[in-house]
Amino acid sequence: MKVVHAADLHLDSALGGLERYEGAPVHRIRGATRAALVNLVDLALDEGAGLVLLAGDIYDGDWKDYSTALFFRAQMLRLAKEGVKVVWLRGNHDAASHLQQHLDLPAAVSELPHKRAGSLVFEELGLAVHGQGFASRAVAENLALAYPEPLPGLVNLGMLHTSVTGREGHASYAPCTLSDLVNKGYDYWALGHVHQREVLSEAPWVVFPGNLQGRHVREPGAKGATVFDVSGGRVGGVEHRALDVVRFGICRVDVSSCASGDDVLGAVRDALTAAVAGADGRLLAARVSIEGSSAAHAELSREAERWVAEIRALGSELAGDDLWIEKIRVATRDRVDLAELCARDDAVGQVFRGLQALRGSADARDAITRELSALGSKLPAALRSGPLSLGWDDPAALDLLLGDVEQLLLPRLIGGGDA
Amino acid sequence: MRLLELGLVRFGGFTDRVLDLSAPGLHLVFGKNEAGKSTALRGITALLYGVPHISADAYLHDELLISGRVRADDGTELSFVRRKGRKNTLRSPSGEVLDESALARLLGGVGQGVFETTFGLDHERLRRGGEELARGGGEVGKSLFDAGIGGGSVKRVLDELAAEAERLFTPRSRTRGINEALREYGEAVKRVRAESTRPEAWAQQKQALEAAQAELGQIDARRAEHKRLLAAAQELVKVLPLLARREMVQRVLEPVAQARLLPDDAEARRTALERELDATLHDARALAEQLAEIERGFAELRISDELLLLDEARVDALHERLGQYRRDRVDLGKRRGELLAAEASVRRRLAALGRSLADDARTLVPRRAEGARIKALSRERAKIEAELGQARQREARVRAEVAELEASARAPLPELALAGAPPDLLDRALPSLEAIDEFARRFERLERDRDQLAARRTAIEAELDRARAELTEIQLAGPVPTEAELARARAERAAALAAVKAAIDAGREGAAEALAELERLERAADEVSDRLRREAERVARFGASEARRRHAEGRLAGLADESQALHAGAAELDRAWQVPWAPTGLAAQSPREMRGLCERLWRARERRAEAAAALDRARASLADGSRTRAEHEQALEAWSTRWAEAVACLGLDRGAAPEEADDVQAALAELGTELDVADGLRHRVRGMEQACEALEHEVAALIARHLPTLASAGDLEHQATALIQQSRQNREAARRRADLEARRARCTARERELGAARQILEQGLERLLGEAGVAQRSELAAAEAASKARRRAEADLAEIDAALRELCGTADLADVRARAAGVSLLDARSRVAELEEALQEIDAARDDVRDRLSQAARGLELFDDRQTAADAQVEAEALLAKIRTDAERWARVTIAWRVLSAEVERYRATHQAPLLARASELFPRLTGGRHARLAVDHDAEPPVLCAVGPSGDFLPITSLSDGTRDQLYLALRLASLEHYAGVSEPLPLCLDDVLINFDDERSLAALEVLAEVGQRIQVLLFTHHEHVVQAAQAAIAPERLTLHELSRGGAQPNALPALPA
Repeated sequence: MKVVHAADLHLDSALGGLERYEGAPVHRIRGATRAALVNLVDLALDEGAGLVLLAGDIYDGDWKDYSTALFFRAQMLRLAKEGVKVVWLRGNHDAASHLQQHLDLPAAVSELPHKRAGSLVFEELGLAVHGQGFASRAVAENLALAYPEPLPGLVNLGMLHTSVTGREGHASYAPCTLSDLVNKGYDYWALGHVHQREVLSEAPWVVFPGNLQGRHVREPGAKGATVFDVSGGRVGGVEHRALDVVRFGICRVDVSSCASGDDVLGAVRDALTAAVAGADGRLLAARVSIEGSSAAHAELSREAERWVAEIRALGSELAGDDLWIEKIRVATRDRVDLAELCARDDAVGQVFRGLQALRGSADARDAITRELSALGSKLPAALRSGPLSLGWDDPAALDLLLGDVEQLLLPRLIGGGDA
Repeated sequence: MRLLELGLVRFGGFTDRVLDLSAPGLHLVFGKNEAGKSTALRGITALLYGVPHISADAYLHDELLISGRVRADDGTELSFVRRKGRKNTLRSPSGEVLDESALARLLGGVGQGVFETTFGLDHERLRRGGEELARGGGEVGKSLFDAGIGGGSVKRVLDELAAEAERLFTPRSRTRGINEALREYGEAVKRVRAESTRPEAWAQQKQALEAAQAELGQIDARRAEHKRLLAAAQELVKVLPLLARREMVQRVLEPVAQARLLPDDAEARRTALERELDATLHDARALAEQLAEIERGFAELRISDELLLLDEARVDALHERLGQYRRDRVDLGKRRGELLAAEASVRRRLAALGRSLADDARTLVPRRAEGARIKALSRERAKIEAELGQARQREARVRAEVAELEASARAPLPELALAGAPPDLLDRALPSLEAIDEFARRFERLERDRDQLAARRTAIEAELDRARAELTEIQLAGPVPTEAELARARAERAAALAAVKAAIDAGREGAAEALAELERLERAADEVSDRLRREAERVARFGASEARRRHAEGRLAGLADESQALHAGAAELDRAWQVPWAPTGLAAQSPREMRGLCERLWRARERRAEAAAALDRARASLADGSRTRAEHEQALEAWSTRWAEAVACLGLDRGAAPEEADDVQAALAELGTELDVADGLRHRVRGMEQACEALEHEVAALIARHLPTLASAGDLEHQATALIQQSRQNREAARRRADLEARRARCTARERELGAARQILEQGLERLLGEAGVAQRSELAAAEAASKARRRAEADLAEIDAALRELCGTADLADVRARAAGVSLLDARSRVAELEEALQEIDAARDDVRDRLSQAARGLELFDDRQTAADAQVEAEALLAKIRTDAERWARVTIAWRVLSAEVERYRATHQAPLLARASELFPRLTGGRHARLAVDHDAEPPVLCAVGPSGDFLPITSLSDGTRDQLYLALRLASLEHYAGVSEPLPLCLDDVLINFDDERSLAALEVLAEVGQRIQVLLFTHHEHVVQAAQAAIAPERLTLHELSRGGAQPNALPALPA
């Protein structure tokens, strides 16, 4: 009998960071998280699964459109109609969400309790599922410790929404150690919360399946669910299945050996071609990061807009609707030795010394922050704090910004003045 | 650092070209176009920083190689070579790989870009620097900064940064990139909120749906009950009439319930059998009548077998021949009369010709050929006689013509009436007209030559007169010295000199005289010589006139010869003219006269010849005429003989006239015709008589064989007619007998068939009696009627019961009847109407609830598959991404602008004083003292740089000429470089033809300045222009100037060709 384990559906959470441009395949990113859920249900039905486990974060916490919950219900009905059982628990996002209200899910869909740990026994399937959902959005205690003892004669599955010992980019919720889990005596731990797929242990299995659909470039690669087999009282055949419809990826292009903008285009073409080929026919949302100390830096820097347009056009030409250039980051550096430039007592040296000086000075940083506040104060909250923050009040971010300014000015002040 | 030596070992077009750059002061590198000036400049960069992968200088040598020697200010020297390649390109002169850092130290960390912009300057960059100064209005900070960085324009960079920042965002705009995106983002977020649906809304909608569903359930239950009652009432309404009908049918069935059931077709079968039996009996009766009639026909027939033997065709032929026989009998008498009349006519004709019938009359008639021949001979005689008459007439006419021509030939010709003309002149040889014309042309040519000669003579004589007049005029002015005279004088002088020598040698006395003579002659010769020179023009004129005179005289002598030759030619022509006329005996006059005479004579000669020819022709014609006449006379004689032969058969002789012969011939022809008629009649009469006899024999024979009873009855015609008639009647009777026999056979057969059919039909009827159980055929109809009535009643009953069954379903019919008992149809119908009304009310209420239900369901559906809020969120995220990217860019360009502006100002603050002081020294020198100094106009905001004129007035940079601006920029650049040299180790300053737009005075000044700068910084000035070289040599002390010339040929180190001073 097959069991499908998924988590972090984040239904109707919009894909982020995708800049619009002429020719971008806008229609293909709408409803991506819903399409991934449909793929999950299809998978369960195709595999003839007896049980589907959803380990939290079905919804996005602050998402308020009830249509999302109804869509979830419709998909659960599809499973129920075919006799597939579903067990889910609330993640931190679900605890914060109001979308559960009034939602009459089919009887085949069971929720684990969130006030204390509980068990659901499926005698006909020969297994028991244990777990506890989140009662509130932030659960700081180790929930795993209070989980019931395994039931003899059944295959015991534990479900938990947790960051375990902590994972980068993920808030630390329901912390626990791997040994807390391993020592529990369950056969399989179906975890949720961490969006990157990870198998923490194979005996017993402790698995983060990752989220169902990557939502921005910080969630690159294939996304989907884990399928395993329960037979003869044992868990086996653990496999990951990609279910995403849009795949994020970062194309790092080292252009150190490129002498001109056209050479750079050639290198980008090669990198994108490989990336598109690796996307399994899905829409690839690729960030192009052009890096390295390059003779082409001056050309790229002086005509920044032109090269962005060229690379987007190249993307359309290469893959048409199968590729979205998420963002183009030109992080090339001039080959000039900045230290020596700064050492010179002339006009150019003066400028770059001035820039160096700014980095060390708190006053100077404050001045810059003030200078930028003309725009900063008008920006949406998402760009002022959180993962997308521009960090104009953050010393490290400002140092990076000054580095970019250096690279912006270099080709304009030296190198023939043919700007 | 100084570049002490540059070796272009294998580079561009150079091979082993070494420049020694070690001397202080200015190095001026001169190369004409294509000499490799630019190559050498690139060579310096390549030496210091490496050869580019794609090099313009690799066209000659496969492996590029440059050598160099450099020295730092601290005295460190480095000799090295540079190869083209990707690594290990820096090596020692002996080939060991050197670390780039060794050279980088000496370069003071200056990279290629900085080297090219800071230490390289060409006239294009100089001009652009001047322009940027003007464009920036001479703003002090930017001007000094630009001069400091060497290339580009800081103002332009700042402007571009500011423009880009503004394009991205300004605090108050709504249309800039970021401003617009922010607005759209706000709208998208609002849309997300507006499109989001709440759980309560859905729950409410769901409750409404469930309530409607419950209500609908109740209504449906009531409706079902009503429907059931209505169905029962409607059943009763249908059952009641059926029950009434059933009772009626049962009453009908009762009397016939026991009747025997016959098959459905019993009646049809019976009536068909009876109808067929009647028809059969009727046919049998008709047949008996037909047979009786046939027997009567047999009894009436009479037939003779002998007559049947007579063939029918033969009877028909006999009938036909009998008609011909009758016509022949009538015709025979008429023809016999005609024969007698014809024979009488022949006899009369013979008598008229004097012959009797005894003669064989046929032989008298001439044959057709003989008649034709006589007619042809008659026609021939007329023709012969006509031709003979014509021949005789023609002969007489020709004879008269001959006589006339002979008379005219004997008359004399009028042309010969010339005095002295010999009578046989026409027979003598006459010159041809062409010969006379040729003589006429020769006489004309002779005359023309004479005229021309005379004209030329007149012209030459005039020329001679003029030459002589000039000579006289020249000679009147004194004798003219001549070359001959000079030669003569010299000869005399030579002779005198010889005499003097001889006298001296001999020691003779008189040597003194000889010497005196020599001196005189010496003087004379000199005088002639002098005069020749002095009076050269006169001598020349004299010589020319003399020459013209001689020439004219010579030409006159020539003319005399020509004249003589002309006379001789005239005499010869006259003689020749007489020759052709000698044989004619005529005196030769002018060619024109003689030509006229000659033409007339030629014509007379032609006429005489024509008359003789005409006479010959007339005589020949006369001989012809006589011969023809004789031939016709002979022909007439021959005809007479043939005529006599031809008419003999008519009994005529030779003398008979043709008309006579024609008459006899006509009479004999008619006799022949009459004889033919008589013969024809005779033959016909005989034929008719034979046919009549043959028929009579045949009829007699037929009568005897087939109808002997008629043998003695009447004539042939009667017998024959009777035979034909009786034979035909007999044959008709035989044919009728055959018909009757055939009909009798058919009737007999039909009689047998009818008997068999009748028997079968009667058996059928017997079977029907059995089936119906009756004895008599008359009882069959009643039995059939009873069977039918029973069957119909039973069917009706079954139908009614079936209808009842259908209406009542499985209910017991007895129950149904019980329920219906006592209920009237009227009652039942009013119950139905009541129930229907109630149902309509229920349905209306139900529709209402259903409407509400579907409304609620539609409301709920709106929640399903709805993702408009999510779509708006996608939109918002895209805008957020754009805002973020644009904001990052805006921050970069804004900070770049801010930092650059600040540093430009800081640079000005720290460098203004020393840089301006030095530039202010250089600028007046570079402009040849046209300007006093540089100053800062602090009244302007921001402060700007100004040139100060000789009278102390401030001149804004925008007011300076292009050239002066170039010089200002050069002054600032040099000041910056000197400042740089003060704090860092400078690299060689490489100037590429920077002076080409400077006038001579300023070029000199600039070269002096460069030589001075060259004491502190190594200055290499490359130029194409010789005048720069000349100016440098003039302006700069030799110890501060080193000249190099570039040429592709080979090495010419430090050796310049002698340049024009």
